[in-house]
Amino acid sequence: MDCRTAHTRLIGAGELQPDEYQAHQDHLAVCAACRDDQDDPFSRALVQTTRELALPPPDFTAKLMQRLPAESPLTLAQQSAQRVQRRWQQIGLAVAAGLSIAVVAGISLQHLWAGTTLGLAADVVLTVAGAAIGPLVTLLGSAVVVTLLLNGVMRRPSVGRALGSAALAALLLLSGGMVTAMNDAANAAASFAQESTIATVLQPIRVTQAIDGDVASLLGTIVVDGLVRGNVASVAGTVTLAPAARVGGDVLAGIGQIQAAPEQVVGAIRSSTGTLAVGTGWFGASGATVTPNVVRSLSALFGALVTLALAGLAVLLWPQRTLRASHVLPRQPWAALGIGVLITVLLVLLTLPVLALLAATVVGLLLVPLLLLAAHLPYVQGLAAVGQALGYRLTGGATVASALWGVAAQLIVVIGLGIWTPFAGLLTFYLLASLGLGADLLARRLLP
Amino acid sequence: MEPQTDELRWIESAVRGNHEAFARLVDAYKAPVYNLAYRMLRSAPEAEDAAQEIFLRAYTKLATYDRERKFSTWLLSIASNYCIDVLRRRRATLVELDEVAYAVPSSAPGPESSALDHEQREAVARAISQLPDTYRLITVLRYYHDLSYEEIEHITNLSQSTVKTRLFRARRQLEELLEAEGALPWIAEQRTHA
Repeated sequence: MDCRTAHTRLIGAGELQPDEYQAHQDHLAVCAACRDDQDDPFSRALVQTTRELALPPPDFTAKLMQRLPAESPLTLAQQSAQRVQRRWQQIGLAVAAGLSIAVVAGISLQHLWAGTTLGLAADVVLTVAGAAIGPLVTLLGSAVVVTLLLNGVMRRPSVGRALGSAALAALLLLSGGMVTAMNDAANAAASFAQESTIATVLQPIRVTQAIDGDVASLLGTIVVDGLVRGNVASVAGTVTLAPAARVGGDVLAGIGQIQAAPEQVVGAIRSSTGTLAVGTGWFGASGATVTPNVVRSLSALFGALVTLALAGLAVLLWPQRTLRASHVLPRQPWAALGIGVLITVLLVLLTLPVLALLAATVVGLLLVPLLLLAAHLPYVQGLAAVGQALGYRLTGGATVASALWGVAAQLIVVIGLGIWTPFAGLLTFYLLASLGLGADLLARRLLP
Repeated sequence: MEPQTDELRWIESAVRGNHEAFARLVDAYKAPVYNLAYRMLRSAPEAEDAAQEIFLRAYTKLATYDRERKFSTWLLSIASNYCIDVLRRRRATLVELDEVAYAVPSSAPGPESSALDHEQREAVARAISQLPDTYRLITVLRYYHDLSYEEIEHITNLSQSTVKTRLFRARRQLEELLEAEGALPWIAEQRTHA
């Protein structure tokens, strides 16, 4: 029985046959809306006065048919997808042009803001960004790889798609390996050769010999136990100068402390924390050593469990939203990934300077973890959406449990890669989460 | 043949550009779509235009329709969104032109068929038309279209608890509106029968 029949019987309940009465009772047992109506006499009055639908004029269908497009809905959908693709290409070009202008303007204005906090943030971001072009290229390449991989997993499987997916997965691993190799090479260069510039992401650097150029690290500590003729810059990592170390340029730290004596540095020592620590810093010299694999694995496992719990919470709190995003994902993976990655890139560009500025004060420093947490909440929702789509493929159902399976599957891949090389794990996490985030935003626009 | 199988066949055929198949879908659903538009927009000519636009949108989006969803739910969600958009645009225009008179529901006779309780139906319809847009949508879906909380949830993308709360508040507002119109004695009569 449906609500229409139940409503009809609600206003004429006295005339029910025993089997009809039973069917009505069965419906009430499962339908909260009809139970509410049954209990409220005013609702009965409403039901009684809303039985007749307003009808359209007789020529309604004929008029509509004259206005129908000649193209089929299938053709219209393809044309619409092409329009969306073109629009994103235009947005991409506009963003690239905007960024180029911003970089040129930033470099031109650099001398004006030298010595200010904003100038420090700009110095650090520009130095590290300049050194991080390699990883960024890898990031974009991997974005393409993950999309194709998911496309292969989610659409109807075929031998070609399976082989393609396997090849692309290997490429993803190789891209992570490239970054690790690059980091290792950078460290080797720092120890043994006179390279022009050394840069790493998520890996510590220890300089034991002479370096002609700059030394920069994003999310990695830098220990100088030799000579650096250029600048030493770090974002979210400490910079430590051993007693015998010398730096010809400036020593900069975006978020993190500097342990150095003024006489060791020819240029300026500038830290966004506003303090100059000589001797033991917050993190000590241990920050310069590579984290042991066991500790890294346990941290990854803990992080994965917390993420799984948060993603599960997202599925429970917003089941419809997650479902809608998971419906869009297999249909428009490219658009979802494009939107998600674009938002991530913009978020990173916005967050880094904000973090640097916040870290300039003690109160601001306390706000940094909250800001980071808030910035990651949409990614948990994104991970849940991808989990729901993957869970559907894995279990054949669109339930909370299947979504959790999907999230767990992603985290296993992320941890596996992360243990092997942290950058690949982190990259995969953000790409998957960005994919879901993009699908979430697309679902709001596409699905009625 | 099962009605649902027929419906799926029409959809498949319409997706490939068969206008005749789409016309069958229109014939099957024009009454609920038009009724929703009429109850939301409170004007027969506007409801007809809106229903036409809703079906045109459904046609252009038909390739994205998920076969696992109920077609009626999908179509009514397009209709709900369209009507809410029209009401938002109308409100913006009203503010711009300062023509508050448009907000008063039309007293012109509606297209319902007449019956003995015509006056009572009219009183309730007038009261429903004075509800806030979001409350009115849920009330129309529940009482004119006999949809469950779950179906309304899918159409409006609101949570079930929100649907339930809004419907409860809508009923209480309707009671107040009907009391102000002097229609409550009849409602009280219904209560004594209950």
